[in-house]
Amino acid sequence: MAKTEAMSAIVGLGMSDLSREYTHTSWQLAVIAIHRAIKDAGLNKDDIDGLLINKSPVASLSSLPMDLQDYAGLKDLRLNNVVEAEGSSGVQMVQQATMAVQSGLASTIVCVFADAPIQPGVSTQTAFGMPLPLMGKTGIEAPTALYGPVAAYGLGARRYMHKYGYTEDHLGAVAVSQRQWALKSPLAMMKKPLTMEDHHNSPYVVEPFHLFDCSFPVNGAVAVVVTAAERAKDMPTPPVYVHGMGQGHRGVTNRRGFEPEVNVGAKLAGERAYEMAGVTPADIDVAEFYDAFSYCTLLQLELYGFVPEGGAGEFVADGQIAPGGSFPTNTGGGQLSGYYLQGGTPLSEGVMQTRGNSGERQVKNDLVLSAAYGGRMQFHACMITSPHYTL
Amino acid sequence: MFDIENSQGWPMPVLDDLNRPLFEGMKEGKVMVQKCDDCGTWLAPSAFICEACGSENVPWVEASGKGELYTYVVYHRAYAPEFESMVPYNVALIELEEGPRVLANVVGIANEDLQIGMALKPVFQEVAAGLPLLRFEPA
Repeated sequence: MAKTEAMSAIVGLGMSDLSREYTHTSWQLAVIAIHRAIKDAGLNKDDIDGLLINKSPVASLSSLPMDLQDYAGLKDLRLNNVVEAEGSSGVQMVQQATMAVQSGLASTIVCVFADAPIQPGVSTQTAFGMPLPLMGKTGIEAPTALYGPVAAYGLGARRYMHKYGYTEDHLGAVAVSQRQWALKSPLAMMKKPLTMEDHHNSPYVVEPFHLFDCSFPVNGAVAVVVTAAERAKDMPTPPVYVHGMGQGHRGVTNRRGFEPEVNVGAKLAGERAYEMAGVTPADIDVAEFYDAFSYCTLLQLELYGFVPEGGAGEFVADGQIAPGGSFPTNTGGGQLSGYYLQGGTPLSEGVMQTRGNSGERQVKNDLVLSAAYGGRMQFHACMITSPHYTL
Repeated sequence: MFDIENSQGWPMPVLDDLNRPLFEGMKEGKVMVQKCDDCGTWLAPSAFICEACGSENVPWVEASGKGELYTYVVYHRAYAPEFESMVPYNVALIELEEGPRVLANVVGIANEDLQIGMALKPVFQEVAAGLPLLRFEPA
Protein backbone atom coordinates (compact mmCIF):
# COMPACT_ATOMS: atom_id res chain seq x y z
CA MET A 1 0.00 0.00 0.00
CA ALA A 2 1.35 3.42 -0.96
CA LYS A 3 1.84 5.71 2.00
CA THR A 4 -0.50 8.64 2.19
CA GLU A 5 0.08 11.77 4.23
CA ALA A 6 -2.68 13.71 5.87
CA MET A 7 -4.47 16.41 3.87
CA SER A 8 -5.47 18.57 6.82
CA ALA A 9 -6.19 18.28 10.51
CA ILE A 10 -9.07 19.05 12.82
CA VAL A 11 -7.47 20.71 15.83
CA GLY A 12 -10.43 22.16 17.70
CA LEU A 13 -13.90 20.96 18.66
CA GLY A 14 -16.55 23.03 20.37
CA MET A 15 -20.17 22.28 21.14
CA SER A 16 -22.86 24.43 22.67
CA ASP A 17 -24.99 22.94 25.39
CA LEU A 18 -27.59 20.70 23.76
CA SER A 19 -31.24 21.12 24.62
CA ARG A 20 -34.68 19.84 23.78
CA GLU A 21 -36.07 23.18 24.90
CA TYR A 22 -35.53 26.61 23.44
CA THR A 23 -32.70 28.49 25.13
CA HIS A 24 -30.85 30.45 22.45
CA THR A 25 -31.21 31.42 18.81
CA SER A 26 -29.34 29.43 16.21
CA TRP A 27 -26.69 32.14 15.74
CA GLN A 28 -26.16 32.42 19.48
CA LEU A 29 -25.57 28.67 19.70
CA ALA A 30 -23.17 28.99 16.76
CA VAL A 31 -21.17 31.74 18.46
CA ILE A 32 -20.89 29.69 21.64
CA ALA A 33 -19.64 26.63 19.72
CA ILE A 34 -17.21 28.70 17.62
CA HIS A 35 -15.55 30.17 20.69
CA ARG A 36 -15.39 26.83 22.47
CA ALA A 37 -13.73 25.29 19.39
CA ILE A 38 -11.18 28.11 19.15
CA LYS A 39 -10.38 27.76 22.85
CA ASP A 40 -10.14 23.98 22.54
CA ALA A 41 -7.55 24.46 19.79
CA GLY A 42 -5.50 26.72 22.06
CA LEU A 43 -6.05 29.61 19.67
CA ASN A 44 -7.72 32.98 19.96
CA LYS A 45 -10.22 34.44 17.57
CA ASP A 46 -7.64 36.56 15.78
CA ASP A 47 -5.92 33.36 14.62
CA ILE A 48 -9.03 32.42 12.63
CA ASP A 49 -9.02 33.49 8.97
CA GLY A 50 -11.83 31.37 7.59
CA LEU A 51 -15.46 30.66 8.47
CA LEU A 52 -17.74 28.04 6.95
CA ILE A 53 -21.35 28.04 8.07
CA ASN A 54 -23.94 25.24 7.95
CA LYS A 55 -27.57 26.00 8.73
CA SER A 56 -30.42 23.52 8.65
CA PRO A 57 -31.95 23.36 5.17
CA VAL A 58 -35.35 24.14 6.65
CA ALA A 59 -34.10 27.15 8.66
CA SER A 60 -34.08 30.61 7.14
CA LEU A 61 -30.85 32.06 5.82
CA SER A 62 -31.22 34.92 8.29
CA SER A 63 -31.09 32.44 11.19
CA LEU A 64 -27.41 31.81 10.44
CA PRO A 65 -26.24 34.48 8.00
CA MET A 66 -22.79 35.30 6.73
CA ASP A 67 -22.51 38.12 9.24
CA LEU A 68 -22.28 35.38 11.85
CA GLN A 69 -18.69 36.56 11.45
CA ASP A 70 -19.60 39.77 13.27
CA TYR A 71 -21.76 38.10 15.92
CA ALA A 72 -18.70 35.94 16.68
CA GLY A 73 -16.29 38.87 16.50
CA LEU A 74 -14.16 37.40 13.73
CA LYS A 75 -12.06 39.91 11.73
CA ASP A 76 -10.11 39.95 8.48
CA LEU A 77 -11.34 36.61 7.18
CA ARG A 78 -9.98 35.29 3.90
CA LEU A 79 -12.83 32.79 3.51
CA ASN A 80 -16.47 33.15 4.53
CA ASN A 81 -19.23 31.02 3.09
CA VAL A 82 -22.55 29.41 3.89
CA VAL A 83 -22.18 25.79 2.78
CA GLU A 84 -25.57 24.61 1.57
CA ALA A 85 -25.51 20.90 0.84
CA GLU A 86 -28.38 20.02 3.19
CA GLY A 87 -27.51 17.39 5.76
CA SER A 88 -24.21 16.53 4.10
CA SER A 89 -22.86 20.02 4.82
CA GLY A 90 -21.42 19.09 8.19
CA VAL A 91 -18.83 16.91 6.48
CA GLN A 92 -18.67 19.02 3.32
CA MET A 93 -17.48 21.96 5.42
CA VAL A 94 -14.41 20.00 6.47
CA GLN A 95 -13.85 18.99 2.85
CA GLN A 96 -14.01 22.60 1.70
CA ALA A 97 -11.81 23.75 4.57
CA THR A 98 -9.27 21.09 3.64
CA MET A 99 -9.20 22.30 0.04
CA ALA A 100 -8.91 25.91 1.21
CA VAL A 101 -6.00 25.06 3.51
CA GLN A 102 -4.24 23.06 0.79
CA SER A 103 -4.67 25.79 -1.81
CA GLY A 104 -3.59 28.56 0.55
CA LEU A 105 -6.90 30.41 0.43
CA ALA A 106 -7.04 30.40 4.23
CA SER A 107 -5.04 28.74 6.98
CA THR A 108 -7.21 28.30 10.07
CA ILE A 109 -10.88 27.75 9.40
CA VAL A 110 -13.82 27.37 11.75
CA CYS A 111 -16.67 25.21 10.46
CA VAL A 112 -19.92 25.52 12.38
CA PHE A 113 -23.32 23.85 12.30
CA ALA A 114 -26.08 25.30 14.46
CA ASP A 115 -29.81 24.78 14.61
CA ALA A 116 -32.68 25.67 16.88
CA PRO A 117 -35.67 23.81 15.43
CA ILE A 118 -37.40 24.00 18.79
CA GLN A 119 -38.68 27.56 19.12
CA PRO A 120 -41.18 29.14 21.52
CA GLY A 121 -44.55 27.75 20.41
CA VAL A 122 -42.99 25.05 18.19
CA SER A 123 -42.90 21.66 19.86
CA THR A 124 -40.40 18.90 19.24
CA GLN A 125 -43.21 16.96 17.54
CA THR A 126 -44.08 19.58 14.94
CA ALA A 127 -40.72 21.24 14.32
CA PHE A 128 -40.31 19.48 10.96
CA GLY A 129 -44.00 18.65 10.28
CA MET A 130 -44.60 20.48 7.01
CA PRO A 131 -44.89 19.43 3.36
CA LEU A 132 -41.42 19.10 1.85
CA PRO A 133 -40.67 19.09 -1.88
CA LEU A 134 -39.84 15.48 -2.73
CA MET A 135 -41.43 14.82 -6.08
CA GLY A 136 -40.01 17.52 -8.28
CA LYS A 137 -42.07 20.65 -8.71
CA THR A 138 -45.59 19.30 -8.54
CA GLY A 139 -46.41 20.25 -4.97
CA ILE A 140 -48.36 16.98 -4.80
CA GLU A 141 -47.02 16.32 -1.29
CA ALA A 142 -49.53 18.69 0.34
CA PRO A 143 -52.80 17.28 -1.08
CA THR A 144 -51.65 13.69 -0.61
CA ALA A 145 -50.92 14.54 3.04
CA LEU A 146 -47.24 13.65 2.84
CA TYR A 147 -46.00 15.91 5.60
CA GLY A 148 -42.56 15.98 7.19
CA PRO A 149 -39.36 14.08 6.54
CA VAL A 150 -40.39 10.94 8.43
CA ALA A 151 -42.69 9.70 5.68
CA ALA A 152 -40.28 10.67 2.93
CA TYR A 153 -37.69 8.41 4.53
CA GLY A 154 -40.36 5.86 5.35
CA LEU A 155 -41.06 5.44 1.64
CA GLY A 156 -37.38 4.68 1.13
CA ALA A 157 -37.23 2.37 4.12
CA ARG A 158 -40.24 0.34 3.01
CA ARG A 159 -38.79 -0.18 -0.46
CA TYR A 160 -35.38 -1.09 1.00
CA MET A 161 -36.93 -3.51 3.51
CA HIS A 162 -38.93 -5.12 0.71
CA LYS A 163 -35.82 -5.58 -1.42
CA TYR A 164 -33.86 -7.47 1.22
CA GLY A 165 -36.63 -8.93 3.35
CA TYR A 166 -35.82 -6.77 6.35
CA THR A 167 -38.35 -6.50 9.15
CA GLU A 168 -39.02 -4.19 12.05
CA ASP A 169 -36.71 -6.45 14.06
CA HIS A 170 -33.81 -5.30 11.89
CA LEU A 171 -34.74 -1.66 12.32
CA GLY A 172 -35.18 -2.20 16.03
CA ALA A 173 -31.75 -3.81 16.30
CA VAL A 174 -30.21 -0.55 15.09
CA ALA A 175 -32.10 1.46 17.68
CA VAL A 176 -31.25 -0.96 20.49
CA SER A 177 -27.55 -1.08 19.54
CA GLN A 178 -27.25 2.68 19.42
CA ARG A 179 -28.98 3.11 22.74
CA GLN A 180 -26.29 0.89 24.27
CA TRP A 181 -23.68 3.30 22.95
CA ALA A 182 -25.67 6.30 24.17
CA LEU A 183 -25.64 4.95 27.71
CA LYS A 184 -21.85 5.25 27.57
CA SER A 185 -21.84 8.83 26.29
CA PRO A 186 -22.21 11.83 28.59
CA LEU A 187 -23.40 13.90 25.61
CA ALA A 188 -26.27 11.60 24.63
CA MET A 189 -29.80 12.86 25.23
CA MET A 190 -31.33 9.38 25.71
CA LYS A 191 -30.40 7.97 29.09
CA LYS A 192 -32.61 4.91 29.60
CA PRO A 193 -31.90 1.39 28.34
CA LEU A 194 -33.96 0.34 25.32
CA THR A 195 -35.09 -3.21 24.55
CA MET A 196 -36.48 -4.65 21.34
CA GLU A 197 -39.80 -4.95 23.15
CA ASP A 198 -39.70 -1.22 24.00
CA HIS A 199 -38.99 -0.50 20.34
CA HIS A 200 -41.85 -2.63 19.03
CA ASN A 201 -44.27 -1.31 21.66
CA SER A 202 -43.52 2.31 20.90
CA PRO A 203 -46.13 4.00 18.69
CA TYR A 204 -45.66 4.33 14.98
CA VAL A 205 -44.76 7.83 13.87
CA VAL A 206 -45.11 6.98 10.22
CA GLU A 207 -45.13 3.24 9.58
CA PRO A 208 -42.70 1.43 9.14
CA PHE A 209 -41.04 3.72 11.70
CA HIS A 210 -41.76 3.31 15.36
CA LEU A 211 -40.91 6.23 17.63
CA PHE A 212 -37.47 4.76 18.38
CA ASP A 213 -36.61 4.46 14.68
CA CYS A 214 -36.61 8.24 14.49
CA SER A 215 -34.20 10.89 15.67
CA PHE A 216 -35.62 13.87 17.50
CA PRO A 217 -35.08 17.62 17.21
CA VAL A 218 -32.32 19.11 19.36
CA ASN A 219 -31.18 22.70 19.64
CA GLY A 220 -27.43 23.01 19.58
CA ALA A 221 -24.25 23.72 17.67
CA VAL A 222 -21.01 21.98 16.73
CA ALA A 223 -17.87 23.77 15.55
CA VAL A 224 -14.47 22.47 14.49
CA VAL A 225 -11.21 24.19 13.60
CA VAL A 226 -9.45 22.90 10.47
CA THR A 227 -5.85 23.75 9.65
CA ALA A 228 -2.79 22.37 7.85
CA ALA A 229 -1.87 18.83 8.86
CA GLU A 230 1.70 19.87 9.65
CA ARG A 231 0.52 22.23 12.39
CA ALA A 232 -1.50 19.67 14.31
CA LYS A 233 1.34 18.09 16.24
CA ASP A 234 2.05 21.42 17.95
CA MET A 235 -1.55 21.93 19.04
CA PRO A 236 -2.87 21.03 22.51
CA THR A 237 -5.44 18.46 21.44
CA PRO A 238 -4.75 14.98 19.98
CA PRO A 239 -4.48 15.41 16.19
CA VAL A 240 -7.35 14.36 13.96
CA TYR A 241 -5.82 13.96 10.53
CA VAL A 242 -8.00 13.98 7.43
CA HIS A 243 -6.82 11.34 4.95
CA GLY A 244 -9.66 10.90 2.54
CA MET A 245 -12.94 12.43 1.53
CA GLY A 246 -15.65 11.84 -1.01
CA GLN A 247 -19.08 12.86 -2.16
CA GLY A 248 -21.86 11.02 -3.94
CA HIS A 249 -24.99 12.49 -5.49
CA ARG A 250 -26.57 10.01 -7.86
CA GLY A 251 -29.68 11.97 -8.74
CA VAL A 252 -33.23 10.81 -8.14
CA THR A 253 -35.03 9.29 -11.11
CA ASN A 254 -38.63 8.45 -10.35
CA ARG A 255 -39.34 5.85 -12.99
CA ARG A 256 -38.99 2.14 -13.72
CA GLY A 257 -35.44 0.85 -13.89
CA PHE A 258 -34.19 3.14 -11.14
CA GLU A 259 -34.31 2.58 -7.40
CA PRO A 260 -33.15 5.89 -5.92
CA GLU A 261 -34.35 4.89 -2.46
CA VAL A 262 -31.78 2.08 -2.29
CA ASN A 263 -29.03 3.12 -4.71
CA VAL A 264 -27.98 6.24 -2.86
CA GLY A 265 -24.70 8.12 -3.29
CA ALA A 266 -22.94 6.71 -0.24
CA LYS A 267 -21.20 4.15 -2.44
CA LEU A 268 -19.72 6.83 -4.71
CA ALA A 269 -18.65 8.89 -1.71
CA GLY A 270 -16.98 5.96 -0.01
CA GLU A 271 -15.15 4.76 -3.12
CA ARG A 272 -13.45 8.13 -3.58
CA ALA A 273 -12.55 8.49 0.09
CA TYR A 274 -11.02 5.01 0.32
CA GLU A 275 -9.06 5.61 -2.87
CA MET A 276 -7.75 8.92 -1.55
CA ALA A 277 -6.67 7.44 1.77
CA GLY A 278 -5.29 4.29 0.14
CA VAL A 279 -7.40 2.03 2.34
CA THR A 280 -10.33 -0.35 1.99
CA PRO A 281 -13.54 -0.63 4.01
CA ALA A 282 -11.99 -3.59 5.85
CA ASP A 283 -9.34 -1.22 7.27
CA ILE A 284 -11.90 1.09 8.89
CA ASP A 285 -12.30 0.59 12.65
CA VAL A 286 -15.43 2.59 13.38
CA ALA A 287 -18.13 4.44 11.43
CA GLU A 288 -20.15 7.47 12.42
CA PHE A 289 -23.20 7.96 10.22
CA TYR A 290 -25.91 10.52 9.81
CA ASP A 291 -28.71 8.26 11.08
CA ALA A 292 -31.88 10.31 11.19
CA PHE A 293 -33.80 7.03 10.83
CA SER A 294 -32.80 3.51 11.81
CA TYR A 295 -32.72 2.04 8.30
CA CYS A 296 -30.24 4.72 7.18
CA THR A 297 -27.55 3.00 9.24
CA LEU A 298 -28.30 -0.36 7.60
CA LEU A 299 -28.11 1.12 4.11
CA GLN A 300 -24.89 3.02 4.81
CA LEU A 301 -23.21 -0.04 6.35
CA GLU A 302 -23.84 -1.74 3.01
CA LEU A 303 -22.99 1.05 0.58
CA TYR A 304 -19.83 2.13 2.42
CA GLY A 305 -18.74 -1.46 1.98
CA PHE A 306 -18.68 -2.79 5.54
CA VAL A 307 -21.12 -5.60 4.76
CA PRO A 308 -22.48 -6.98 1.48
CA GLU A 309 -25.59 -5.35 0.08
CA GLY A 310 -28.49 -7.08 1.77
CA GLY A 311 -26.27 -8.17 4.65
CA ALA A 312 -26.69 -5.33 7.13
CA GLY A 313 -29.89 -6.60 8.71
CA GLU A 314 -28.44 -9.85 9.96
CA PHE A 315 -25.16 -8.13 10.91
CA VAL A 316 -26.92 -5.62 13.11
CA ALA A 317 -29.39 -8.15 14.53
CA ASP A 318 -26.34 -10.15 15.56
CA GLY A 319 -25.11 -7.23 17.68
CA GLN A 320 -22.12 -6.43 15.50
CA ILE A 321 -22.49 -2.61 15.62
CA ALA A 322 -23.26 -2.50 19.35
CA PRO A 323 -20.64 -2.22 22.12
CA GLY A 324 -18.56 -5.40 21.99
CA GLY A 325 -19.47 -6.05 18.35
CA SER A 326 -17.05 -6.41 15.48
CA PHE A 327 -17.77 -3.04 13.91
CA PRO A 328 -18.61 -0.22 16.34
CA THR A 329 -21.03 2.18 14.66
CA ASN A 330 -22.53 5.47 15.83
CA THR A 331 -20.60 5.23 19.06
CA GLY A 332 -22.15 8.33 20.59
CA GLY A 333 -25.61 6.84 20.19
CA GLY A 334 -25.94 8.47 16.79
CA GLN A 335 -28.87 10.72 16.09
CA LEU A 336 -31.38 8.12 17.29
CA SER A 337 -30.15 8.17 20.88
CA GLY A 338 -27.33 10.73 21.02
CA TYR A 339 -28.23 14.04 19.48
CA TYR A 340 -29.58 15.16 16.12
CA LEU A 341 -27.37 17.96 14.92
CA GLN A 342 -27.53 16.91 11.27
CA GLY A 343 -24.02 16.53 9.81
CA GLY A 344 -22.65 17.85 13.08
CA THR A 345 -23.44 14.52 14.73
CA PRO A 346 -21.08 12.25 12.73
CA LEU A 347 -18.59 15.12 12.56
CA SER A 348 -18.36 15.61 16.31
CA GLU A 349 -18.36 11.93 17.28
CA GLY A 350 -15.83 11.15 14.54
CA VAL A 351 -13.51 13.80 15.92
CA MET A 352 -13.91 12.53 19.48
CA GLN A 353 -13.26 8.91 18.51
CA THR A 354 -10.23 9.87 16.42
CA ARG A 355 -8.80 11.83 19.34
CA GLY A 356 -8.97 8.65 21.36
CA ASN A 357 -10.21 10.20 24.58
CA SER A 358 -13.85 9.19 24.49
CA GLY A 359 -13.86 7.42 27.83
CA GLU A 360 -16.10 4.41 28.23
CA ARG A 361 -17.20 4.43 24.58
CA GLN A 362 -13.71 4.75 23.08
CA VAL A 363 -12.96 2.08 20.50
CA LYS A 364 -9.98 1.21 18.31
CA ASN A 365 -9.58 4.27 16.15
CA ASP A 366 -6.74 4.00 13.64
CA LEU A 367 -9.21 4.80 10.88
CA VAL A 368 -12.56 6.46 11.43
CA LEU A 369 -15.23 7.03 8.77
CA SER A 370 -17.62 9.95 9.31
CA ALA A 371 -20.44 10.25 6.82
CA ALA A 372 -23.38 12.59 6.37
CA TYR A 373 -26.24 12.84 3.91
CA GLY A 374 -28.99 15.27 3.07
CA GLY A 375 -32.21 15.58 1.15
CA ARG A 376 -34.19 12.37 0.82
CA MET A 377 -30.90 10.53 1.53
CA GLN A 378 -29.65 11.72 -1.86
CA PHE A 379 -26.64 13.94 -1.09
CA HIS A 380 -23.70 12.16 0.56
CA ALA A 381 -20.33 13.28 1.88
CA CYS A 382 -17.79 11.39 3.96
CA MET A 383 -14.30 11.67 5.35
CA ILE A 384 -11.70 9.32 6.78
CA THR A 385 -9.77 10.53 9.80
CA SER A 386 -6.93 9.06 11.81
CA PRO A 387 -4.66 9.93 14.74
CA HIS A 388 -1.75 9.06 12.42
CA TYR A 389 -0.17 11.64 10.14
CA THR A 390 0.99 8.94 7.72
CA LEU A 391 -1.01 5.88 6.76
CA MET B 1 -67.40 23.17 -11.07
CA PHE B 2 -63.81 22.16 -10.61
CA ASP B 3 -61.94 25.17 -9.28
CA ILE B 4 -58.62 24.02 -7.90
CA GLU B 5 -57.28 27.53 -7.56
CA ASN B 6 -60.01 28.29 -5.03
CA SER B 7 -60.67 24.91 -3.45
CA GLN B 8 -61.24 25.35 0.25
CA GLY B 9 -60.47 23.06 3.12
CA TRP B 10 -57.64 21.04 1.65
CA PRO B 11 -53.89 21.79 1.54
CA MET B 12 -52.82 22.59 -2.01
CA PRO B 13 -49.63 23.88 -3.59
CA VAL B 14 -49.47 27.18 -5.39
CA LEU B 15 -50.31 26.33 -8.98
CA ASP B 16 -47.98 27.37 -11.76
CA ASP B 17 -47.09 26.29 -15.27
CA LEU B 18 -45.01 23.40 -13.95
CA ASN B 19 -47.74 21.70 -11.95
CA ARG B 20 -51.09 22.97 -13.25
CA PRO B 21 -51.54 20.24 -15.91
CA LEU B 22 -51.32 17.56 -13.22
CA PHE B 23 -54.26 19.04 -11.32
CA GLU B 24 -56.19 20.13 -14.44
CA GLY B 25 -56.01 16.49 -15.54
CA MET B 26 -57.80 15.39 -12.38
CA LYS B 27 -60.76 17.56 -13.39
CA GLU B 28 -61.17 15.39 -16.50
CA GLY B 29 -60.39 12.12 -14.75
CA LYS B 30 -56.98 11.83 -16.37
CA VAL B 31 -53.63 10.71 -14.97
CA MET B 32 -51.20 13.19 -16.48
CA VAL B 33 -47.46 12.66 -16.79
CA GLN B 34 -44.88 13.86 -19.29
CA LYS B 35 -43.20 12.25 -22.26
CA CYS B 36 -40.19 13.39 -24.22
CA ASP B 37 -41.14 14.24 -27.79
CA ASP B 38 -37.60 13.58 -28.99
CA CYS B 39 -36.50 10.32 -27.34
CA GLY B 40 -39.82 8.97 -26.10
CA THR B 41 -38.85 8.65 -22.43
CA TRP B 42 -41.82 8.79 -20.08
CA LEU B 43 -41.13 11.26 -17.28
CA ALA B 44 -42.50 11.72 -13.78
CA PRO B 45 -43.85 15.23 -13.36
CA SER B 46 -42.77 17.91 -13.20
CA ALA B 47 -39.99 17.69 -15.73
CA PHE B 48 -38.66 20.85 -17.32
CA ILE B 49 -36.30 18.91 -19.56
CA CYS B 50 -35.98 15.25 -20.44
CA GLU B 51 -33.47 13.79 -17.99
CA ALA B 52 -32.54 11.12 -20.55
CA CYS B 53 -31.69 13.32 -23.57
CA GLY B 54 -31.90 16.91 -22.38
CA SER B 55 -34.72 17.86 -24.75
CA GLU B 56 -37.02 20.68 -23.70
CA ASN B 57 -39.91 19.10 -25.60
CA VAL B 58 -41.57 17.33 -22.68
CA PRO B 59 -45.33 17.77 -23.16
CA TRP B 60 -47.91 16.51 -20.71
CA VAL B 61 -49.65 13.36 -21.90
CA GLU B 62 -52.28 11.08 -20.44
CA ALA B 63 -51.09 7.82 -18.93
CA SER B 64 -53.28 4.73 -18.90
CA GLY B 65 -53.54 4.98 -15.13
CA LYS B 66 -52.65 1.33 -14.62
CA GLY B 67 -49.83 0.85 -12.19
CA GLU B 68 -48.41 -1.06 -9.31
CA LEU B 69 -47.49 -0.20 -5.75
CA TYR B 70 -43.80 0.70 -5.55
CA THR B 71 -43.60 1.69 -1.89
CA TYR B 72 -45.83 3.22 0.80
CA VAL B 73 -46.00 4.58 4.32
CA VAL B 74 -48.86 4.65 6.83
CA TYR B 75 -49.50 7.72 8.96
CA HIS B 76 -50.81 7.12 12.45
CA ARG B 77 -51.26 10.78 13.27
CA ALA B 78 -52.29 13.87 11.34
CA TYR B 79 -49.91 16.75 10.78
CA ALA B 80 -52.71 19.03 9.54
CA PRO B 81 -56.32 19.17 10.82
CA GLU B 82 -57.74 18.33 7.36
CA PHE B 83 -56.21 14.85 7.59
CA GLU B 84 -57.51 13.89 11.04
CA SER B 85 -60.50 11.93 9.76
CA MET B 86 -58.23 9.86 7.46
CA VAL B 87 -55.89 8.52 10.17
CA PRO B 88 -54.52 5.90 9.76
CA TYR B 89 -53.90 6.71 6.11
CA ASN B 90 -51.27 5.76 3.57
CA VAL B 91 -49.18 7.69 1.07
CA ALA B 92 -47.67 5.65 -1.75
CA LEU B 93 -45.46 5.82 -4.77
CA ILE B 94 -47.21 4.14 -7.68
CA GLU B 95 -45.22 2.98 -10.70
CA LEU B 96 -47.38 3.56 -13.76
CA GLU B 97 -47.21 0.97 -16.51
CA GLU B 98 -45.50 3.56 -18.73
CA GLY B 99 -42.72 3.82 -16.13
CA PRO B 100 -43.04 7.11 -14.21
CA ARG B 101 -43.79 6.96 -10.48
CA VAL B 102 -46.39 9.24 -8.94
CA LEU B 103 -47.29 10.04 -5.37
CA ALA B 104 -50.87 9.31 -4.24
CA ASN B 105 -53.00 7.73 -1.55
CA VAL B 106 -54.24 4.16 -2.04
CA VAL B 107 -57.88 3.72 -1.01
CA GLY B 108 -60.38 0.89 -0.97
CA ILE B 109 -58.04 -1.44 0.92
CA ALA B 110 -56.94 -1.81 4.53
CA ASN B 111 -53.45 -0.47 5.10
CA GLU B 112 -52.29 -3.81 6.49
CA ASP B 113 -53.26 -5.49 3.21
CA LEU B 114 -51.04 -3.27 1.05
CA GLN B 115 -48.40 -5.26 -0.83
CA ILE B 116 -45.54 -3.84 -2.86
CA GLY B 117 -46.11 -4.87 -6.47
CA MET B 118 -49.92 -5.08 -6.24
CA ALA B 119 -51.89 -3.87 -9.28
CA LEU B 120 -53.65 -0.52 -8.92
CA LYS B 121 -55.99 1.67 -10.95
CA PRO B 122 -56.87 5.34 -10.59
CA VAL B 123 -59.89 6.75 -8.78
CA PHE B 124 -60.76 10.41 -8.37
CA GLN B 125 -62.15 11.34 -4.97
CA GLU B 126 -63.55 14.76 -4.11
CA VAL B 127 -61.61 15.47 -0.91
CA ALA B 128 -62.89 19.03 -0.84
CA ALA B 129 -65.40 20.99 -2.91
CA GLY B 130 -64.00 21.27 -6.41
CA LEU B 131 -60.99 19.03 -5.81
CA PRO B 132 -61.30 15.50 -7.27
CA LEU B 133 -57.93 14.23 -6.06
CA LEU B 134 -56.15 11.47 -7.97
CA ARG B 135 -55.93 8.38 -5.80
CA PHE B 136 -55.49 4.69 -6.55
CA GLU B 137 -57.36 1.53 -5.59
CA PRO B 138 -56.77 -2.18 -6.15
CA ALA B 139 -57.26 -3.12 -9.81
